[in-house]
Amino acid sequence: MDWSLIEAQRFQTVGADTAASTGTTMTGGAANTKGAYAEVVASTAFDAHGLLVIFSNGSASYLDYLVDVAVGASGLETIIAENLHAGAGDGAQTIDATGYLLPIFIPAGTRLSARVQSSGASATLRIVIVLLGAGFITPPGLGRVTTYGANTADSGGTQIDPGGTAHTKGAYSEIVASTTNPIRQLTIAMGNMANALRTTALWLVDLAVGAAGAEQVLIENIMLNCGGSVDLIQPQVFPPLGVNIPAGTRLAARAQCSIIDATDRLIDILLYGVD
Amino acid sequence: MAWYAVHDTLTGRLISIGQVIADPMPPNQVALPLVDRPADTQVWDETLRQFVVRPAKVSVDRLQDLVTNPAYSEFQTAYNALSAANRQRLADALARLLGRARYRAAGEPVELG
Repeated sequence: MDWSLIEAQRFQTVGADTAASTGTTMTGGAANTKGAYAEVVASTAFDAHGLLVIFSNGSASYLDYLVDVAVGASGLETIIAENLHAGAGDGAQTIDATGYLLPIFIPAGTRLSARVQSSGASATLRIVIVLLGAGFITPPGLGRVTTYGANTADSGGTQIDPGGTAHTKGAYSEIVASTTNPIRQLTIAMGNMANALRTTALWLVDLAVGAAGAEQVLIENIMLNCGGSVDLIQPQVFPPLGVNIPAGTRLAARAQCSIIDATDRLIDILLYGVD
Repeated sequence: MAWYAVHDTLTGRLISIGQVIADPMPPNQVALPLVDRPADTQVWDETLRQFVVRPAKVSVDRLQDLVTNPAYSEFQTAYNALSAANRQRLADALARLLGRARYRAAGEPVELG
């Protein structure tokens, strides 16, 4: 096998708890209230051009979580990725947030920490972060993550209702009226809405730009499913997609679903724009 | 910013909810002003052309399935032969065995798996 001498790839995983085969524990406050920051690493070892943020091992079934990742000294944390979503189905270990790949630059020597809120009081969630090094031919990391559609009141996202006709696209739900920043990399996350008793179902989701009544589909038929025994919509997070969405853009989403149950057809959506 | 429910004037079908609406509106579409973004507990009623309270979710007890669903007549024959006290003991044991799976969504099958 040939290993490139110029790429100099390098990885460092921070926050792992090898004694318990899990990650750093974050503990939420009261329901839908952020808890204290938990330190993931005191000082990163090298310049990172990206982060892979992984959640798992929650404290209870059927909870929604929103996580802030921050840099800075204890008490002076600055959020760099806000309200990353994860959800649990039938079991605390069903969380399917397989990883938020955030192509942002983090210099060596940075303290990373994270905090969580949940739809359940004092819920816990574990986190590890894989720091991605880079070489001469790797594009430089971007600088900013902007979250759209998070609903801190229920630790979820923006609700999409596919409507009462199966296999037919429902109404668009506005995620943001006007994007704050341009988007170069877009991560889409889906929320389970803390639904403890889901019906087996399939979804196709459209993401669109444009004013209400004149939306233009940007990404069509993103496929989701949910098994009635797991009670969890999957996948929860999609890898970042290269896009070119200017600031000031309205973003909306709609979906079609294989069922019409008034509750179980509902899903949440959140977007993370990186520029 | 104000919120609007854009819907089809002919069918009442909801097309979009948002704060930024098309200008001009496409033919056969109208933007109904809303007090606020509709709550997650609300659903669009195409007939009334307004948001109404979403119907409450109703779960089904698999223990009730066992004693009422004709597909489990053999179980019911044995169950009905028990004394009331033993029926309760059996129900308690089944409830422990099923755990969270005791209840199912109305659209889910009785059988697990």
